[in-house]
Amino acid sequence: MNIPIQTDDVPMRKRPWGEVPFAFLVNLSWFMSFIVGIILIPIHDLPITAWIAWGLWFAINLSVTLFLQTKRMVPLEAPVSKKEIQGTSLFKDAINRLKQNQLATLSAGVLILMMICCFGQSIIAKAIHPDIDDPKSIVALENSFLSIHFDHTRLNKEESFSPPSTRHWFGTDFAGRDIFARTLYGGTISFLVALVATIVSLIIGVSWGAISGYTGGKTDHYMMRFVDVLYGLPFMFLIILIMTLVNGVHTTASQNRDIVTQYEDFLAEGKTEEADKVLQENELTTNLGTVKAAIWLDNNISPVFVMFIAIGLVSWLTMARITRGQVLSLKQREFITAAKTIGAGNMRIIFLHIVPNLLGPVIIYTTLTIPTVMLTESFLSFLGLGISEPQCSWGSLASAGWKEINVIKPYWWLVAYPTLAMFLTLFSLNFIGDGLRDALDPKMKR
Amino acid sequence: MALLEVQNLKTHFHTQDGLVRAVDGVSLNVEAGKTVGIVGESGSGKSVTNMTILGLVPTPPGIIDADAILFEGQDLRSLSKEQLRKLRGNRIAMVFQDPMTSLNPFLTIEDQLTEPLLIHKGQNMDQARQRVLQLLKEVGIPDPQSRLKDYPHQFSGGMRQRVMMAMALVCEPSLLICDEPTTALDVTIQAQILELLKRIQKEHGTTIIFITHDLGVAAGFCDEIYVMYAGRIVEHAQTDELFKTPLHPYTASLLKSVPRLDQEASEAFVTIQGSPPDLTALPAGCSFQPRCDHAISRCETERPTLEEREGNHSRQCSCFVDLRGEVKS
Ligand SMILES: Nc1ncnc2c1ncn2[C@@H]1O[C@H](COP(=O)(O)OP(=O)(O)OP(=O)(O)O)[C@@H](O)[C@H]1O
Ligand SMILES: [Mg+2]
Repeated sequence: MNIPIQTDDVPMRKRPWGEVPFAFLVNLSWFMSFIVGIILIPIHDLPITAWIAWGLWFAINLSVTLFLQTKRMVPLEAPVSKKEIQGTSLFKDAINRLKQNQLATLSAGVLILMMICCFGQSIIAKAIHPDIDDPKSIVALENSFLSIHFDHTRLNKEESFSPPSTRHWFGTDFAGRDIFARTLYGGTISFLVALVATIVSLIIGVSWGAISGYTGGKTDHYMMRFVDVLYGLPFMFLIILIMTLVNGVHTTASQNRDIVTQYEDFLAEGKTEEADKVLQENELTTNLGTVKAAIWLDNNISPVFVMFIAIGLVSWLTMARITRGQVLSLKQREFITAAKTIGAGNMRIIFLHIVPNLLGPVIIYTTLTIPTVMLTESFLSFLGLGISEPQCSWGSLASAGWKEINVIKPYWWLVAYPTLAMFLTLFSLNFIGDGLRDALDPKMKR
Repeated sequence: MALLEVQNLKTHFHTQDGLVRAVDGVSLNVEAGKTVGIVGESGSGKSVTNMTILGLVPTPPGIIDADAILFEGQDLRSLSKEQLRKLRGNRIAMVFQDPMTSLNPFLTIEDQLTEPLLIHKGQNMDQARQRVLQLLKEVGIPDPQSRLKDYPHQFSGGMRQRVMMAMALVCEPSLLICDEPTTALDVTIQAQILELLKRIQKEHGTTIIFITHDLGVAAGFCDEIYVMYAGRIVEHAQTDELFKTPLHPYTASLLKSVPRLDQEASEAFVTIQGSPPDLTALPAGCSFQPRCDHAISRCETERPTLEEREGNHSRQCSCFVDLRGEVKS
């Protein structure tokens, strides 16, 4: 009747895959092998050795996975003693919980790899081509490995529109520039745009909304009307206006830079007459000041920087509104009253008691903001206002590629690779956001 | 001298439905070391009275008027917001009804318990932690050291109420306001919490204002009781006297509506007829008159005031026909 008790049998349990040591690295390795596989397929002149190497990688993944599978059964130990969890803050706690979430950690790994590649490309390109930002230096051709694969400005008309090959892994565009290098370079810009928008909307948006919602009354009214006004401004129109101005400044500056230098050289040598003559010849006598200002602006402020400001300016508005809405309901909660009864000041209540409770919606909204600003940036670039050639971003690459493609010219690689990169990034961000939200909620603790 | 003396406190709210007279002329006199109960049905203004004393009623929509609110001889009305804030949690502390919602779900117990010490005493985290550990032990949390880093949801309701009490007591307040501290708890836990409160009071000499709508709890716990109805005090007496000879019809019906074990099962369970009055449109006369069995015509037109009975300062009632059958002139 009774189930015989096996005394020598230690109770076992099957660990979840996430708890197995190195599970994260194995996951990442699997994922990367598939991505690399996808990249290898279209390369038409791939030597067979590459496929053999890839097969080897696959086999290693497989054997490591199978090996780790056998290690999954472990004795059912006593629960971890409380002492070990001691000293955890909300943040450390969250990291611990995030580690359990495999989708989120894998996404974080992919994202970090992606960032390393993108920012690595910038560093390499700068190293092999120090005056890369100078338009005149583009013609300089160099045939080293690094230059071919990592210099996003390297032109070669003879190689235009060549499909993915061992020489150009992602193919080339109309000017024979390497899409691989350009995709990586575009990533830098896209990541920077995302970073700026995130920081601005987190710091300004959350503080603005929280203070407005918590204070209430007149302050709230005026703070929110300010947001409404910014909202009401035709954002695209504003950005286009700013960008046009910036472009105008840039043109003026580049046209007149040499003349002004010449003029100043003459002045320095004390040849006042010649200096005046230079100005008269170029009809600059009356507006010398303006031109000088334009040159100064052009030297010190890049259009990309202005685009960052413009995107930062508007990306916090919705965040402020969302935060305010949340705070309005949060401040009615009893624990806020409780915080008041122990004599906590307003700023303490807002930033210590309310803001942590906002993390969920704030993170969700941030993960939604990032794709939006990336798309805004690509739209601006599409209009020719954001990034200017030879700089690029994922959005500008894709839209430029899209314009080249038609039925007769199926240059799919122009669009496919930047899009794939953007797609991977956005998906990763989404999963990380999801994981973070769960991890930051202490109630999700097992 | 009384620790807390409130005279003719009025708290009204401007709303779209009109002026809500949540508190309409309340006077309290709380002697140091005593436990004073405030009893009344839901919506009678018990919480608003105490929030007003703490300076936590937002104005607007609130309109506050009082002849005096004296705490430790200091008039709270003359204090700035900042000075009031320094009093809260330090000299006057409060425990709320629902321990499930009055702790911040995103902060550890340690963060929340040390907060008053960091704010008022300027202590550093280590000192504060020592004090908190000592108090957690005192309120009966087993193994407090290991629970410091826990979040509120990891505690049971009774435990959380103990934590709330520890939080209220960290700065050794002289006045502790308990707003229905046991309503959300089951009976055994309720008894434990009351026991704990009594012990704390004995050890620290804390004065307690105990808000409840459970007369049974008030009977066992309070030295004197104020009965509140529709924003006013209708009766005030020592606990024994109130239960022996209630004077106000409302008190009497409250007492009758407490279920008792020695009641015959067949005996009808008495409830108070009618519903609580609309605070925006109180009747011209006595607020309780529409629900009162003893009402006379005078009750409809004239508002009775709280007056001393039997020449006793702590025996007050506001009724024209009190239950001893005397009709006041
Ligand atoms: N901010 C406010 N605006 C308008 N009316 C309010 C406001 N705060 C409280 N009131 C009103 O004041 C009255 C008294 O509320 P209070 O919370 O003091 O009741 P209570 O006696 O504590 O009841 P309970 O036993 O249910 O806690 C209620 O009718 C309530 O609607
Ligand atoms: Mg209440």
